[in-house]
Amino acid sequence: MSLFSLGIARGLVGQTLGMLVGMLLTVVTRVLLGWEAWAAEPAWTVGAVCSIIGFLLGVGALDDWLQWTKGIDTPLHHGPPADKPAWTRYFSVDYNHKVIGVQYTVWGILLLMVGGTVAMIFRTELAQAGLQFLGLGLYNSFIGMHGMIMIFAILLGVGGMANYLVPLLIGAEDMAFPRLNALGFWFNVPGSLLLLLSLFIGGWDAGWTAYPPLSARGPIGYQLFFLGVFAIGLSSIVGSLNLLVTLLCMRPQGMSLFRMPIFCWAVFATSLIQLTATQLIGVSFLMVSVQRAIGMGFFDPRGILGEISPLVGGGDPVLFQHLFWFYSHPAVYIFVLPGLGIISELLPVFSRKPLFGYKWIALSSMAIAIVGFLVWGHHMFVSGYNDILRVPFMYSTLLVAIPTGVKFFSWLGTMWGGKIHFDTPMLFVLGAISVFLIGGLSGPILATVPTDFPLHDSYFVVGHFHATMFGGFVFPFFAALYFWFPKVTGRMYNETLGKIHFFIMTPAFWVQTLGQMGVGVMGMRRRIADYDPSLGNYQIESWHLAVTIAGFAIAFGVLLMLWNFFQNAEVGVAAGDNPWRSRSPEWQIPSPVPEHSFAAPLRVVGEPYDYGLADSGYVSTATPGDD
Amino acid sequence: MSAIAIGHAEEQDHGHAHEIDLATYQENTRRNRLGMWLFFASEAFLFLALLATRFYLWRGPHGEIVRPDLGQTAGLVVTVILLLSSYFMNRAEVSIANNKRTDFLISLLITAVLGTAFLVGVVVWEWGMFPSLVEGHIKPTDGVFGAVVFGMTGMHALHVLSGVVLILNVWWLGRKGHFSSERHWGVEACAIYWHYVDLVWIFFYPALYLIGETIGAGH
Amino acid sequence: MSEHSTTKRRSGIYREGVLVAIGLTILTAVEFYIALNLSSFAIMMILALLKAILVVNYFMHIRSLWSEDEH
Ligand code: HEM
Ligand SMILES: [Cu+2]
Repeated sequence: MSLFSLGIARGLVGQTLGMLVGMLLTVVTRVLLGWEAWAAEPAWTVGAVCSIIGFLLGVGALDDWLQWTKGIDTPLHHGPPADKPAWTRYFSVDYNHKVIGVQYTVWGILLLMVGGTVAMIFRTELAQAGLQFLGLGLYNSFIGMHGMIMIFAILLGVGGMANYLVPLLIGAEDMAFPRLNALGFWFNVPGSLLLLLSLFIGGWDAGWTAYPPLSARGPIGYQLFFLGVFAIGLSSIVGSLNLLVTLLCMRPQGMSLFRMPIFCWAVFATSLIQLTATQLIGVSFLMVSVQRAIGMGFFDPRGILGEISPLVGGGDPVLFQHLFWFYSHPAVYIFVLPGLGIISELLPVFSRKPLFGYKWIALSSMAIAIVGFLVWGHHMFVSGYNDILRVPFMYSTLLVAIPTGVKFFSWLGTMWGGKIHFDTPMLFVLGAISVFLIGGLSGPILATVPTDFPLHDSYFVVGHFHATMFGGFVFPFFAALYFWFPKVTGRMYNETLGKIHFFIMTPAFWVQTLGQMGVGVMGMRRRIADYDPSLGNYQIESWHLAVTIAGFAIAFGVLLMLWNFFQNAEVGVAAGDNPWRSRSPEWQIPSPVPEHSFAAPLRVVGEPYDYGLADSGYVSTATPGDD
Repeated sequence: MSAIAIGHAEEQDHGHAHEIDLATYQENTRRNRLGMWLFFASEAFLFLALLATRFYLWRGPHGEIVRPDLGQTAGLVVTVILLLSSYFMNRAEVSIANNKRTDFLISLLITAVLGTAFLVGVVVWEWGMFPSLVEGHIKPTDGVFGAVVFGMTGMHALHVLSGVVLILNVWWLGRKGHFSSERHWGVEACAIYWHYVDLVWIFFYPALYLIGETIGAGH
Repeated sequence: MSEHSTTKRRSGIYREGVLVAIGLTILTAVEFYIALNLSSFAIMMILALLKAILVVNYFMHIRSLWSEDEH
């Protein structure tokens, strides 16, 4: 078997060739126009666009569509490749949602490790006042890089959970559009590679939010960063579209919307946001990109429109913030809603009790998604936008606390009086709740205009969003990994190692996030490589050191988890079909899940979360013989 | 994005493939149709963002809505061309639904020609890409007027272009005997995509050409 | 699709397209005329919305999303 029978290897060749072709194209065009042949920014930009296409062509994600334009039929291929070892399907285009789910998850974890490494580097720098080994520019590139890589990682993790679980949870054989599903995953690979590449051609130093005018002037790295974001954004859009159609059209008889497993509601709400809001980050970055490339002055603040001449100036950087946050605030709900869905999904299993207030949880996800569109201005209290906008944005933001509170109460209600089993997934769920609470409580402090003034752009904000994203994504994601690991591999992880991971990571994270908030209150600004050691009565340095140590402890915990999985994926103790005694459809079939998941169509015979109710079931997976 | 439109449009539709039974085909078509509309919903946010940009940035000294002095003839002519093309696209779809193949193919071709005419109109007349044909016109670098005019017409033209390619592809497949009155999701997808592009222009045209006081010379 | 509904469609539906196109043309003319004389954001948007409704309803037959027999 040659290396190039792996799709990803062909994709990488395609990406490299695409890059070269794009650069060549630019040079030729420039020569034809009589300009100087080489200009770095256009060459890299066009090259990067072509490199994405090159990758997709190389990996083969576009093959079927290209056939269809010629009117040639391409039946959907099922099962592992015929002439190659079965594991190769994970490295090539494959249409099975379970394979794609694993691809998403693994790529997401890889990015998590890259992003974590970057963070460890600049955390080391911050452990002491003064500049030790990072320059100012590189430090700024690193924090932006850490932020964006982690966002990619989260989106991939969300995609992984949604793709693997949703068809299983609703008893569908696959997603509605398997080819689109594969394409959606493969966008991520060239996208994240471009993002990483940007570091080597100058980086980008404005942080992940890339505000102009700075981003309109900084190094070339910005263009690759933008294109990487476009690729991920396309993946978000086609992925969410696919999930929505799947959820709306492919549920079995008897599974009304309010009888879906609760995670499906979370995915539904998330997908609505992803489908629509993602366009806004695309368009805002596109505008900066064309401003850099051909001087279209959307955000060029020189002059008032019509003052000198109608053809000069008039741009406004504040517009960028509006467009950007119209995506990026709802985006935070993309990050956390699936995780909150996981919490609601696992709590009943480990409490052996029905989910408290199913309908309220389902609707609160939708409410968060919708209200989430109306609050973007809370990121702009000090941007200089019209003063009268502040108050409505403050109140709309505080409004989000209501549906979020609904979830908290329902979680407590679910656990109340239950026979709680403290297995590793449950521990992570509890950790998630505790951490999300810290994040949630720090939110209203930032959402209140007078308190946000001093705290904006300080480490308090950093502490706030790490708590919300860890509580809303990282902890639930890890819970999900531990919980479904036996379903994916058929093997059990090592419970002791899992518990050690939990007991290292959770206290360490509390220290990290509260420490970040603490140094923020002492006066530590975001995105500055150095600080004055006299801040906070000379306490700030030891706080920073504590945060750094906590960061390393978290990283160690994550490595422990990966080692645990790695060790047990092939040779661990056989887990059995339903180690958690769950009622959910995916646990009623063998582990690992067979190629076509369900041998016969699913029949819904009861409520999803009636744990503890004798003789009740949720679904029946009658084998063909029974019927 | 156009690649997705094309790809998506033809998901699970093989025109001539009669191996799957009609019920399955119709079920798939229902899914495809929903997917297509979700795609439109997504794109709507792109175009709404551009409209928001236009009304945010094109403000006079006292906050009043203004616009550049673009040529009115050009705007009206390309608008009418696009409108006509939408009519023929609809005719093509109705024709194939009634198994009138010749009508179907001719209408498609007319749509593609009109679509191309729209593109040529915008590129030559509005953008002044060929200064020898049309006198120097507003440029992308001309402040926010230039930026927004080119941003909006450019993003729209990209969609028109992908639409024309899609129409030609469908036309070519239709000539080879694909599609029937019962199985023509490919045609429907192409048609509603084209109407969607027209729909966008319905809002872009007044936003660019008609709303607000003109200030300054576009020419 | 039954034989009956096919015939019904055949006689009527070309006419519908023509009518919609005429409606759109008239609205465009009105739009242009109004813009020349008074410039009002609200009127312009209402006219555009009317055109949009025609296109979405008749050309894009949005109803086919939820009803079965609609094309
Ligand atoms: C649902 C989980 C949440 C997540 C994932 C989240 C995430 C974030 C992120 C990433 C930022 C920083 C953006 C930047 O880089 O500048 C941020 C800032 C902010 N968040 Fe949250 N947040 C959440 C919940 C909340 C809640 C419940 C509130 C208020 C009730 C809130 C209010 C704010 C405010 C006001 C800021 C802006 C702070 C500033 O820049 O001055 N957040 N959040
Ligand atoms: Cu926010």
